This record gives sequence, structure tokens and C-alpha cells, in this order.
Amino acid sequence: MDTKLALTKLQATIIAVVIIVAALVVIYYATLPSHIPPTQVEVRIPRSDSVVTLDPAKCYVVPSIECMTPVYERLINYNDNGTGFEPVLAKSWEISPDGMTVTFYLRENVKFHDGTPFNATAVKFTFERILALQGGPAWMYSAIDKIEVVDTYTVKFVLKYPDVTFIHAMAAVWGPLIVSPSYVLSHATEEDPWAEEWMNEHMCGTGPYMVDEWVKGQYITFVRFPDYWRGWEGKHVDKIYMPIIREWATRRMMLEAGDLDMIFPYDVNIDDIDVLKENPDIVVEEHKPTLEVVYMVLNVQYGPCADIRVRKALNYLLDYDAVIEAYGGYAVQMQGPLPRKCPGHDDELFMYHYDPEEARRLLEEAGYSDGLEVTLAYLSDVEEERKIAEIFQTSASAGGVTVNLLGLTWPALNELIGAPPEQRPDIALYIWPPDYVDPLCMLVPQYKTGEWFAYGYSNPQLDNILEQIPKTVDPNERLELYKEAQRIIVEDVPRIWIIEHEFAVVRRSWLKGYHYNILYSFYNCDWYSLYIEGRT
Amino acid sequence: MKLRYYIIKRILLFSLVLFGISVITFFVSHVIPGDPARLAAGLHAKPEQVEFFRHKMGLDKPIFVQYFIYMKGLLQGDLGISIRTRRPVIEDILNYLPATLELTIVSLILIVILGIPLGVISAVHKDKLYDHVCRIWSLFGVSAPTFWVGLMVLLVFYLKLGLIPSGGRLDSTIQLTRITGLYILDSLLTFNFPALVSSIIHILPPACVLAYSELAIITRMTRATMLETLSQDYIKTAKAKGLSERKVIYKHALRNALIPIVSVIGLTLGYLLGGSFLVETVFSWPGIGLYAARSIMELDFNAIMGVTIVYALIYSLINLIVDIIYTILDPRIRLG
Repeated sequence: MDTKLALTKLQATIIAVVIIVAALVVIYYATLPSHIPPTQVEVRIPRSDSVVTLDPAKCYVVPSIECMTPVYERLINYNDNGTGFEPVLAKSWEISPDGMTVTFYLRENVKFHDGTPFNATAVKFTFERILALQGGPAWMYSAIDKIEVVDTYTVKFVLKYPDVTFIHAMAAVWGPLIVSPSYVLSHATEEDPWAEEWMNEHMCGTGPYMVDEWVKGQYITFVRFPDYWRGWEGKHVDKIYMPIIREWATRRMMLEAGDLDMIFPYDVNIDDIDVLKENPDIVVEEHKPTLEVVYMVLNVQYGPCADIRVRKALNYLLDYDAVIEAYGGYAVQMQGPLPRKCPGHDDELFMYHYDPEEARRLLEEAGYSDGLEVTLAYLSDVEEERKIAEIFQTSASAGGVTVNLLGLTWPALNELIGAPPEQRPDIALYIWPPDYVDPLCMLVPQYKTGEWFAYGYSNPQLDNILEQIPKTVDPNERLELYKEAQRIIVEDVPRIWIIEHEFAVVRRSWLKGYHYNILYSFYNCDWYSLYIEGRT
Repeated sequence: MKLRYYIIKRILLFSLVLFGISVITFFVSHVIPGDPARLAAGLHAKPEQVEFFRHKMGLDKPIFVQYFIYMKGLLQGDLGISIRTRRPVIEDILNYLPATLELTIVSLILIVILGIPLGVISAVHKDKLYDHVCRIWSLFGVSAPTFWVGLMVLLVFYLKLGLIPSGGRLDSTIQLTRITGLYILDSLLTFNFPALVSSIIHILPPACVLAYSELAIITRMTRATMLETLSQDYIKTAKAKGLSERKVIYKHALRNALIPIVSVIGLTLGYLLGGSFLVETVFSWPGIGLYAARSIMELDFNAIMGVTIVYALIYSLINLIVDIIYTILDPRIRLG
């Protein structure tokens, strides 16, 4: 029959296609160098999205910063537990007794990737550029009045007002990454004097690695900078390969297959930790502390939350244990406004617990014996926020409080936060990743009168303390002031302090030299210290 | 009406459509709550930083003036600077769109070369084993979520069997000169055989997954229209005249049955372009889906406008092509 003949031809076509595909697969695996172990030692760590900008003066996001740290360096870094500083491009530093100047004594014989020398002029140029461009990190350097080049390797930051905590901003996650002035200026134009357009996509620092290839939206690779000032003695990787792998399940499969060496803690899905722990080739470092906190801001100026009794009641109505469970146990309940690893944290502060009865009593006192209705705004595209909002909705109902959930995008939530008090939601959920370790970078933007994220909260006594802290040279006296500030804030209850986030580090056992840093490691590595041993 | 006049008329109509889309998208994106200046300035920015950016981005001007400035740029081919990526939107689109287009085209080819024959086989062998298998396949296709299918494909063929790459467009060890951004085409143009093989190997898994659910729809649609056509009198006449079964099916029946299928394929192309987002995510495919989604979430006005206009152009083009194919399939249809 003709029909049969026709169908047979069709089948033949399909078979031919299958054979061609199979042949391609065979050729691919037989001929391509990709599956031969690389002759160069390469470390492969995925990123979850495209680069936003590679300009240190503007970069204020992940993913992006992780692509800059192999290339750029700071004058100083925090040590791993955030309790002190380590010299990097600065050999030593000095804060004047009045807190008005910070002087850095710089390392000599350091070269930028363009071959030009690193010196005090480069430091001055970097920070002047940050202040001129007013990008995300600029707020941390607003205290700078002028930068003086004392000599080739000494640079002095003169401040507008005393600030002994300014040194912390020099070790911040983003911002203080030193760029090569000659490289920037060689790409500057009359309309673009700071070479913004060029620096958005190009880098030139003093770091151990240089960009080798950047295929936008796909991957970025780095190779060693031969003239790196620390030299290449000892064990190091030759190359860094950072592909964009958006989906967690794909990242996990690639790690299990040995095609990745590590996943940044920020990208790890805690739900899979137990399974990964069973794999003998994968090292899981659990419960690494962070300074990232999650809290709810309460509208203290308008509506039911203007009454402190309601604010206290709401604090009693969150099931903290359920939230910690939702984080897979990778969280601890906050104790006041600062995370525990922050210097000056007061470990005697009062902590609320889930107690619907106490909440009911407080609400009755406040005149809400018939129940209360509040609105909670949260970021609908952040899974953790959605979970917390739902937990609060459920747990608060036990105390007679109806929580209306308002899932918003980030721009919309921001718009509401800046709105007049009567237009703001009663409660808004926030995740706060700090820029540096000093408590002021959390207390000032969140609790000082008039600050954007203060959400209308104001206490003149607290303002005085926050203004006094930067002028207080004695560290012990400063710690006392921090404690005093925390006590005032906790008494005013302008927030529901929920959790401090914890991370898990997941890597192949052949990746050595990794060390976790409380501030930087969420989406970063000490690239220079990494090496591979025992990878087949 | 001659074809070229028809095309000119349609292009003029496109301009009107594009103008309408630009007005609606611009004003809707600007009235929904959100402050892009604050986003650009950063999470912890001080008010003066935010104002600096508002001024720099021209957001302090009245909305009509902003629209006028945007349109002036658009007419010169300038889609503005993305608030999020700080790069010209046109550059971002040219970077991401080819990947999505290539994935979509390969998926469409798979859908057409597999879906139509499978539908014909089903119709010709109605209620036989072939038909049942095709129907079960189709049912599974429309019910299984693409995201899940993608992950299962990776789990089995990448992790367990090691047969396919985990994702991406090309092996990182292979260099390819970018001409069009469509890697298969670029590797052919540059006679780069390793790149050709690698790009085909990389595109097939996501393309198959993307094609999978739409394939089911095209198969079912072809089956239904073929069954209807096969019962027509002219088919019986053709058979009575002694024409071979093959000729009757493929020349007389299929050609007529194809008309509704062509319009569905046109729509499918649109769906694939817009719906490739999940597959792109699973297979780390650097397409425009995620760029568009991110732009919307972060209220990146210029990127939203740019992507919308480019999508509108592609949709209009697809419609035009579908209309022209109609006239080829059925000479009775006149363009006008």
C-alpha cells in the first residue's frame, strides 16, 4: 500500500534525525576538549544572574560584586569574624584622636593590571570618583571633606565631622575598590569625564586575577595577573570560571556531577542541605553566621501601630520558631535591632516570644478587644518574605488580629515607604544586608529621625546618642553608647525583629583554601587562597 | 492587491500599532507605583543621592516631556539606557534576543517537522495503536509543566546518563565569532565545525523541552483538521479518480488542513517567544525572557519599553508572514 510506503518514509526520516542527533552527541563527546580535564587548574563557581555593572563606584548588588573581587582590592579587609581589619593595599592606618582624619600608609611596588603603579593618587582618584558619580556605595563616604595626598604612599582622608567609625566604610562589601586612574582617564571623554560608560563593562584593579573572557549573559572567566604583588608562590588556581546558572536545581546537579566546585552561600537552597551532606565528595559547612537581618517595620506615626501597646502585641504574635523552621533552621531569632555578631550587640536585651494571650491582653488595653485589622506589605517575588508574611498572618489570627497581605514589587514597596504616614501600610517586611560591620551602618539608616528606612520613627534621645557615637574615640565608651541606643530602640518597639540569617557553604571536597568571612562570603570568595587538590 | 502594496500597507499599519503600544506602555509603566531613581541610587541611598539620579535620568521632568524625549530617541533608533543594567537597552536586547530567537526557531522547526506528521499519522490511523500513542503523548505534553520536564531531562540525560550538557549555548572552551548572535548560523557562516556541533548539542535539550507541550497542541490540531478534511467529498472524489493514497493525503487533504494549523503555528511562535522564560531558566539559556521579567519587577522603564516594542514588531511580522502563507496554501485567499 502507498500509505504504508509513505509512513515508512516518515519513519525513516525520524530515524535519520535520531541517528544524526546521536552522531552529533558522539562527535561532541569524542572530539571536544571541554570534557578533558583542563590543563590549567580552573575553579568553577556559578552566578545566578547577569552582571549589572562592573564599575566599583556604582556596583551595589549581587550578582555583580563577585565578578569584581578577583580584579579589585580594598585598602583594608575585615578579618573573617568581622572583629578587626587586615591590611591589603594599605600596610597600616591611623585615626586621629579627634576622629577628623584617617591616614593610610600604602603598600609599595603594587601594580594595576594596566601596568601603572598603585599609589596615593589612585586612592584619592577612586574616592573622588565615587563621590562624583553618587552611585549606590556613595552614601558611606559622604563624611569625606577632602582627600590629601601626603606623599606617594600616604593618603589622608579629612572628614567634615568627627567619625571614628569611618574606617569601617573602607572595608565595606562594595565601594572601596581601588581603580587605576590612568585606565579610567584614558577612556574618559568630555561628556563622560569619569568614563562611566567604559567602566560599566571593563575593569582594571590590582587584584590577583584579570578578566579573560566575558560572554554577556553566559559566563565570565579570569586568569592570573602575572605581576600580582603577593606573587604566585604556593597553591593557587590558574583560572576562574563563573557561568550564570539561574536555577538552583541545575546548580545542584552540576555540583553533584563535579562540573562545579562550589556554590556561593547566597545561592544555596537550604532544603537540599541534608541530601548534599550524604554525598562524600561534597563538603557542607552548616550554620555560618551572617549580619543579614529580617524584620518588620511598624508605622509608628499613623494607624493602630502608633500605639506602643499594639506594637508590643504584634511582637507577641509572630511565631518565631515557625519562621526559623521556614528557613530550614538556618536562622536565629533577633535580639533587638542588631545581629549578635555586630560589635556592641547587647545580649541582655528583652526578646519577645510567641504569646497570643499576652497579645490579646495588650490589645484589649489598647481598645482593640473586638479584634484588629492590619496590612502587611512584603516583596512578593522573595520566597522567604512570602513565607514569613503567611506565618505572621496565621499566628496573628490566634490573637484576634487579621493581617491583610500586600505582596508588592521592590519599586512599589519603596514608593509606599516614602509615602506620607497615612498612606503607608501598617507593617512592612524587610531584609537588611549590611554594607559593613559597624552598628552605625544599621542604626543610623534604620532608626535616626528623618532617615528613609526609619519609617517615621523618631526619638531625640536616640538621635543624640547616634550623633555622639562617631565622635567617641574610646572604643569601650562607644560600645556602651551602642548598648544604650539598643535599649532605647527596644523600649520604643518600632519594629518586630524577626531573625538573623545563617548560611551554608556547599563545595566539592577537592576545593581547598576556602575560608568563610562573615561579611564578604555571602556572594564572594578569597580568590587568591583557593586551590584545587585531588580533582580527577 | 499586489503583494508589495499589501506589505507596504501592513508596515504603515505597524507604525500605528507601535505608536499605540508605545503610548500605552509608557504611561502605564510610569503611573504604577515605584521610584526607579531610588532603585538606581541604591538601597541605602540618601535623599540627595536619589534626587541626583532623578535629575540625571530625566525623571524630574513632566511625564509628557519624558515621553516626547523617549519618542525622539526611538525614532533615531535609541531605546534609552536601562536603569538596571546601565547599558543601552538596544545593546541588551541585541545581546539577549538572538538566544531566545534561536531557541524559538529550533523549537518551531521541531514542532512542525514532528507535530504535523504525527497528527497526519494519527488521523490516517484513527483509533489504531499509532493514534492512541499520539493521543497519550499529546495529553502528557499539555499536562506536564515545562519547568518540571526540563528538570527531569537534566536529571536523566545530564546527571545520570551524562549525555547532554547542563546548559548554556556553547562550550566555554570553544571560541565563536559573533555575527548574528544566532550561534548555529554564526558557526556555519564562519565554517566553525566544533562550534556548530556544540551549539546544536546545547540547543537541542531546551528546544525539545520548549517544543514539547506545543508539539502536543499542533499534533492534536493537525489530527482534528485532517479528520475533518478526510471526510470531505473532494477527497472521496480524488480517491475515486484513482489517485494514490499518499497523494490524496499529502497533496489534497493536508494542504487544506494546513490553513488553520498555520495560524496556530503563528500563535505558537509568539507563545514560544514569550513563554521560553522557564526553559531558559532551567537550561541557563541567556535569553530575553529573564531580562524582560527582571525589568518589569524592577520598573526599568526603558527596558520595559524596548522589550515591548521589539516583541510587538516580531508579533506583527509573524502575522504578516502567516497572512502571506495563507495565499500560497489557498490561492482563493486574496490579500487586501
